[in-house]
Amino acid sequence: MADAPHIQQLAGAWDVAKTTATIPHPYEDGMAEQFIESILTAENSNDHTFVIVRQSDETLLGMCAMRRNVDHFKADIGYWIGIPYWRKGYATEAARALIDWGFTQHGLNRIWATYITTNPASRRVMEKAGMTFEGVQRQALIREIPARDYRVVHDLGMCAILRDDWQNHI
Amino acid sequence: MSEPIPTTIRTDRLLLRPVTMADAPAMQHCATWDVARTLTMRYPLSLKMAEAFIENLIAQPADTTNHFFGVERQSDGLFIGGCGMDRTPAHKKAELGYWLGVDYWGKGYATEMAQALVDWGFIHHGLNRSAAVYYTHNAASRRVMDKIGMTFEYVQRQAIYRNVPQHNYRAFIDVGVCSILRDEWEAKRE
Repeated sequence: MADAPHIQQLAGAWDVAKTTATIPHPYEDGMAEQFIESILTAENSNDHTFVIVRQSDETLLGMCAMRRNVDHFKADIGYWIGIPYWRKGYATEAARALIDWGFTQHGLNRIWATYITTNPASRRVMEKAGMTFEGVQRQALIREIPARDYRVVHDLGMCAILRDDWQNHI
Repeated sequence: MSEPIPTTIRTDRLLLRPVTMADAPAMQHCATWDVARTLTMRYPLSLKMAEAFIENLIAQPADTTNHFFGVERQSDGLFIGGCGMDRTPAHKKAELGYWLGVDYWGKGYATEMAQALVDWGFIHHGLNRSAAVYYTHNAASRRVMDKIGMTFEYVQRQAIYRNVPQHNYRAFIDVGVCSILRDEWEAKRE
């Protein structure tokens, strides 16, 4: 729960929220607490959510998550980093960690991620973490933020890494 | 939308309609390995499993986003397959799927079913995007998508795992994704 104010502050930035499918905007008081509560009480043990903390000073930088599909030995991952901590390679470090964790600890065969095509920085993270671009789902995400009079139909890019790629990548 | 959404769709030769318990034996009869290997159908499908599947469908609330139709041939009333659509209303999109018993392949029925679903989704559910996926070893399914005006988007590598000991079959399957957008569908109808 102690993370809530930091999450609210960093995820509350419009430039962060608009690169994601789900971060609410505006990020009002109580939302972070609710979000954390929902993670702590989640019954689905195949969903994993992490905060990303800088070791040197214990600053909360952002969050990342993995959703596993156990039937097909696959998972998708996602991440966001607060604006003050962009362009330092933290997202790539987090994505790599999730990928390694998924392959070594969960016996996965495929890990995939999606990005909004107007956000090429996120795709670069995926490629740096060893993922391969697979293609684009056209108009697959509608993002509506009434408070900003914002309604955009996004194309979603898909990247993925297979266990074989990962073994060769290391 | 004020007018009720039809639960039955009539095409030239087929009737897409809600399934009933009476369909279970025909459904099981259609669920041979040649069919099951093209989609995530349970295999082998016992009569009990077919009944449980139908029971679940019948118990769905009216406002479900997961629609399934039994497919009946008008000429003889035979149950020949199934099709369905899984909607994501927040993004005005859906994914559709279809299957036919082997005896009914090669007659254009799948194209007729898929076209009917696409039309139904755009007309009655206000969709903006309809997608369909196929296992890349199943070229016939991809042709159906091409014929109804979908565009190939990409291949999800090794996205589906199938393990069917009865057929000594164990594989990670590549899945192709095709879609049609509302604009494209409207242009095609004009």
